[in-house]
Amino acid sequence: MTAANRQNFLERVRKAVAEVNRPGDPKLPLPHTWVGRSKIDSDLVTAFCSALQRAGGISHAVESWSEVSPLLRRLIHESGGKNIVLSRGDWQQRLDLDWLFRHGPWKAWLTPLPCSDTGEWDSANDNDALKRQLFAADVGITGADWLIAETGSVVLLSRPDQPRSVSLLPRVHIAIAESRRVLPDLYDLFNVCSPADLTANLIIITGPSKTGDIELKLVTGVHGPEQIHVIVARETTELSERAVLLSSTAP
Amino acid sequence: MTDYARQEHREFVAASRAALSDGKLQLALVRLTSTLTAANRRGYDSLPESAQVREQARQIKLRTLANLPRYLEQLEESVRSVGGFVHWADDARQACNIVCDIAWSHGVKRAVKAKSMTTEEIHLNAALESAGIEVTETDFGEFVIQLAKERPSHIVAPAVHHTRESIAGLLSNHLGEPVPDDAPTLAKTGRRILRQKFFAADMGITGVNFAVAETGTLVLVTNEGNGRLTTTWPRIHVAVMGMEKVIPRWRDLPVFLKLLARAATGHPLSVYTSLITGPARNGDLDGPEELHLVILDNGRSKVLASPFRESLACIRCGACLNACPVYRRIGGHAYGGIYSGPIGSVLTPLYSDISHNPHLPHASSLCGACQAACPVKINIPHMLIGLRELQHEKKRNFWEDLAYGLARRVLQRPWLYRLMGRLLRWTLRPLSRDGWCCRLPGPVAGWTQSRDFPAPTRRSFRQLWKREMKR
Ligand code: SF4
Repeated sequence: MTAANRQNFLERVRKAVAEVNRPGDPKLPLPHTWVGRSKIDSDLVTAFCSALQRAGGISHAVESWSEVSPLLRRLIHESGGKNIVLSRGDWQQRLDLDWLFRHGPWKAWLTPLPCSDTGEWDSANDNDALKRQLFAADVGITGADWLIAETGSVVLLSRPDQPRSVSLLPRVHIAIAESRRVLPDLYDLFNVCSPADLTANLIIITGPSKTGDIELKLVTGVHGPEQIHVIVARETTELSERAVLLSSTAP
Repeated sequence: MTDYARQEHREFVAASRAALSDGKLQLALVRLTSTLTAANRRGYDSLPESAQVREQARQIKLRTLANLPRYLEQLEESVRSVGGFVHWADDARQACNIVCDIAWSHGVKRAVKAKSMTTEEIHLNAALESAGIEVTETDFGEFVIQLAKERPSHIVAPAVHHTRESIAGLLSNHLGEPVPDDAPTLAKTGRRILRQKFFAADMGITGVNFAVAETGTLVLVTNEGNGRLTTTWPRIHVAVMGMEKVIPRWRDLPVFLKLLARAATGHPLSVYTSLITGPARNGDLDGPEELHLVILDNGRSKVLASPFRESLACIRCGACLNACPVYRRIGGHAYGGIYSGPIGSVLTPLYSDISHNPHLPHASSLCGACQAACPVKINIPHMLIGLRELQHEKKRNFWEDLAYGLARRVLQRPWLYRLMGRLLRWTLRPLSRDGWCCRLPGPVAGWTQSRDFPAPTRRSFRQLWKREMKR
């Protein structure tokens, strides 16, 4: 498309706007408000869990990190998954996942990383084979950048160590996070995550993939995961850390 | 009326009749619209201060529209700065050409598409297909519609007019093997077919629910996840947006997200809200290599310059359709355009020409249910009346003008008004029995065809008033 085309387009819009606008019409955007922000009195983890259940997901609140590993094992067994893919994150450092990679009637693998110094993929890496593998995965395990108590949502930013496919392609998605990641309301997400933090893809996942297109009956798993589990590990240091997380200014 | 308009009118009446006598469709429509209307109310109830949130959303939209050029330029700049390309399309043809050009220059053979009204509006599928590119709709309902070679009948539930059996028939036709007709199997089958399409596609085409000028973020909302799949593995992502979809700032976005799903389905959020800021970044394993944003006018600047500007604030939630007593009976196909229901009755004539589809502004009882359900409180009834007025200005009706002209003369003269009232009472009295006239003669016979007319009282209000005052 040519520059002239763009000019014409914008000129037309300018004229159209001028036709109806009055001289005194406001030019500035509205000031931000937090109108409609939910007031959650109960514990945020509990509120998150019940919102997730309402959205059709399955929540697991555990008291400490030591409980996560056995729970994960049980969930994988129950899913009957054979091909398990994990994205990376600091949550893994807090778990002993030896059993996952060594034993078990399944194949578990971590998504690969680009060369650390250049950020480029090395040419030996066969992207097509990787794609095939990802499409074949039936359980995907991720961390969570944030959880939202109001809606029961899991928020993930795409990064080299956290590709989009892991929470999207498998039948079962399991997200693991510590409790300080729980934000009270959707507004808080747009506060703690500033434009500068954005990567190519920020996804807010609220429940399992679903459709009502067949005679209005709700069916899950039509494209994305048919099951979503979220494991929230409570931490004792929770309060002080969340205070840091939420310290950005309110409007 | 032009011949074309007359033809449209006939089609509208015929399609409405057909819909009304289709028992299965009636049942589906009643179930769909009453479930979703209840969900809409529940959605607002679950949101604290929902009235203020709606007002906030409305004001943001109206202010953005009033300063649209500025935000469009800012959006362009932001999308470019994160590595995307921006294209400007005056009309449907230009938009289709742009998308086809992108496809050609990248050697695209197969494209997948996530549900989008805008691409329906420009008939993109036909354009791509005639350019030799296979396009697959990936929303389950849209896929069914595509197999059946039909048009969507509802913004949120495009295949509401299909049953389990008819879907199974379409899928087994496509696969060449029988498919059982229970819902979970149908969904699984759809998943299997469409996963192959996603795997093989080189181009993903989507609409845009909101575009944030500040950050260049394109927002895509789906429940099935096809929006995500469309934008994860295909090499190229093309997003087509109507120019009114831009909102100013990052922090304006939650106001709309809080409303959209609640108004549409009663849920606090749709399942997948994708915030896409540019193509895949350095080191990303998946995500498109290129992102193209096509900004479409196609009649919108005309609306922007008219008293109907407010209609551009629509966020396509579908709530007004479900609330509308006319839509609830005749369904989406009768409206003849891409946009159906009350907002369709406003948009379809405005985007094309108001002499087209002359019946649409009249396909409403002006009950106001649409405005009450609308998350951005668009005054649809007001605009429908406005459209009727324009139609009248354009094409005056001799008899209507005569009748109103006479009425004006009568109403200006009290003595004449009294005389006419008395005359009317005298003529009607012999025609009525037991307090009702059941059959009026001549040109006014139509009035009593399906209802009775109350018989006139013996004395006029003025006479009664005089008597009361004397006492
Ligand atoms: S007019 Fe309002 S209710 Fe109707 S689709 Fe648009 S936003 Fe929704």
